[in-house]
Amino acid sequence: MALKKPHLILDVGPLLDDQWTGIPVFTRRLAQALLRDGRLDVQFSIDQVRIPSSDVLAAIQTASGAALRDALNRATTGSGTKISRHSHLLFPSVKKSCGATLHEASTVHDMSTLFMPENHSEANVVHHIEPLRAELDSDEVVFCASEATQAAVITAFPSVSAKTRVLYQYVDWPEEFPAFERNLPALRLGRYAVVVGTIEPRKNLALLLNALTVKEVARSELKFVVIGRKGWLMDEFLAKLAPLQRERVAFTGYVSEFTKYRLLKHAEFLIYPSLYEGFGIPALEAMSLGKPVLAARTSSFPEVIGEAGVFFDPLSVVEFAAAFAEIQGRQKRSALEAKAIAQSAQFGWRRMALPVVEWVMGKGVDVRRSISAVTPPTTKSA
Amino acid sequence: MPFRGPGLLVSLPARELAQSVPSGSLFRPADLRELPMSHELRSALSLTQQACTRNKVRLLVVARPEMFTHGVSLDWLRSRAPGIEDHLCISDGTAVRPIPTMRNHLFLYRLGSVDNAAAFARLSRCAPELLAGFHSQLNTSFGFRVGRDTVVPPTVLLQGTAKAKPSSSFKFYAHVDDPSLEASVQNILQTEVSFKAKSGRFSHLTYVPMTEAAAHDKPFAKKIAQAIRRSYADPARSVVLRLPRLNPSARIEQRLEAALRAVRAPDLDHPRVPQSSVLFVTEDPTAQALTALAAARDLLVHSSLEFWHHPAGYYAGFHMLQIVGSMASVSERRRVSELLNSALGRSQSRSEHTPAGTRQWR
Repeated sequence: MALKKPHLILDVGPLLDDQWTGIPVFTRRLAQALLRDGRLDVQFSIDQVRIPSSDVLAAIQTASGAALRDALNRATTGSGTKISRHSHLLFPSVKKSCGATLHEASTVHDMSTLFMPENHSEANVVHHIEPLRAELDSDEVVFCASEATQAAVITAFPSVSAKTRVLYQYVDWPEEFPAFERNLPALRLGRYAVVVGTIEPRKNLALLLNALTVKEVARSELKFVVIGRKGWLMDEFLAKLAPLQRERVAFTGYVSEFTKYRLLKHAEFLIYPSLYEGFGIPALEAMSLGKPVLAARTSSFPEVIGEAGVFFDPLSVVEFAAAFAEIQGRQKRSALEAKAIAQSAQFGWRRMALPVVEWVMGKGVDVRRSISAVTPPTTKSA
Repeated sequence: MPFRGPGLLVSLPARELAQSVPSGSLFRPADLRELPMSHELRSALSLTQQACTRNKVRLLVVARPEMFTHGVSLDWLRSRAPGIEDHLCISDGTAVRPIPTMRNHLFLYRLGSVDNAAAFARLSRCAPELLAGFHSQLNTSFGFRVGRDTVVPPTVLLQGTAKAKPSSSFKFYAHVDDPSLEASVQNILQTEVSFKAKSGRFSHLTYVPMTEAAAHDKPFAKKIAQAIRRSYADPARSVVLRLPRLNPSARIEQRLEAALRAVRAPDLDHPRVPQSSVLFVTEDPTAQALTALAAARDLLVHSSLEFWHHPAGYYAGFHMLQIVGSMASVSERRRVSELLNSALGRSQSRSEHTPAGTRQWR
């Protein structure tokens, strides 16, 4: 008789979005990694309402939350199966409620709302910060998107240190993309580098725009293609662009995964000037296509990009220009291209599934919920 | 001075410097000389610089310390600041950014702003361990709940020698029947007087350096109203109210409006003429100017007062000090009053603690 697999309920609330970027894509990858791993009986829920696996898989096929919303409506109005208190319940992002089961885990993607609130709207800060402490307290394990995020979580909440685990994601371009791409006419963009990500202050696009007048960048023939939708405070920023900046920089807005793939595939390299990132999936996407990364020396970038990039101080135009000149060297870039593929290969679905499987199977999990990690300099009783 | 070793890294709040950071993550304090920043931040930085100079501690400024989370980025920072083990986070209360592996110290400024105070209260509630991990706090005495304990990072006093700034003085005129606050403000602006000309006119003075938080604190507003009422009854008594600073770009009209909102209590029947014994001033008068105004002087301060702009000696000429402010707990009230008494050069021997505040005699 086959042994019953331990079961895990994955909250797939993020998949309700129409356009899957960021956390919805992370959620989809996590679901697929766990299903592929096969050691767990993976079931799905949204806000503690069980969703049939067939509906989640159908949503994954279409990469849209539309079908899933129908499924949620059906499950909410029907009798539905309740979640057992003893289930392992994993949230790929922030929790909407705490304490539904005895074994909960949530995922922290970055701590920028706490450490750089000036780069977020007040509503976003409140949304992330207010419930964070209760979420972490009720977690058996706190998954962190990178070592950088883990370090930031521990800085802010040393008492959860023992239950943090790094949960790296991976890149999985659809198998048909290379064939699609081969059958299309060549792109006519000339030589260009790509910047990927929502256009917002934290992404530090101003550095690149300011660098356009610096000798090393001004002399280059390279153009810059910025892929991503406009974020917070950006209308005003874009309206102020000078003619030179408009000439050298193109903004695509939101594009499909295939268009992003295509633009990355034909780029010379990726530029990632962000001041702070929790992981930086565009870097991994670029590296998986053999593209090196010109990246800010900050937070998670050195850990994710490794030796496949050239790093610079994201507050120094001079350093950026020097790094830009370095990565443009033919020899240097071909050396980095080889490293890029190898570096991206280190992040795969097995690596993503492992810490979750270990948690559910009870391996390597320290469930202490003490506050012993805190070493207060002075303590007074209240 | 809590900092040891050859140097100190200082980080400044990104919110104030977002538009004007010098190039690079690390720079010298001199590079900030020409950059626009609030009076309070410049004072905090200048105090820190003076203390470092006195103690022969090298000072470097780090922008965006949150970038240096671990590994390569943190190693890079440490290699650029060799031997430096201390980091002073100067914060407006909206975010604090300790640097891992360093001894972190916290210098909070402009908590007299209602928004900043609310943001800091949220930070204290949502991430108390983050704040409890600081090695010391400069000029504050906050406690943070961690589990069942309240952690109070040791307080270090660092007080300045503020230079007298040009100040304007106006007579108080805010009748409750004025059609609007704006109308009252315009009336007051017509009544500019020379502070010097009032010398020797009064036998008693209550000086009230207001903050925005004080203007929003009902117990404090009530105390001011009481002082003003006494001055109506006794022409020898004067009240001088220093306008709250609000934000760095606040106009005098906005500052007057904030102060008036606090003191226009409906139960206080203000006279229909400008009141010569109650004055608004835009900056702190010098100790000498206050002494010249009245022989006996009291000080009424809110718990959010940034006392550290002045040395303890500035406050020595006040006969009685009253500290008022809506604070969360008895222990917090005691900590604040201990801190202010110490900073304002008082001993604890002649003090009286009441729910309405603390009174301390010289």
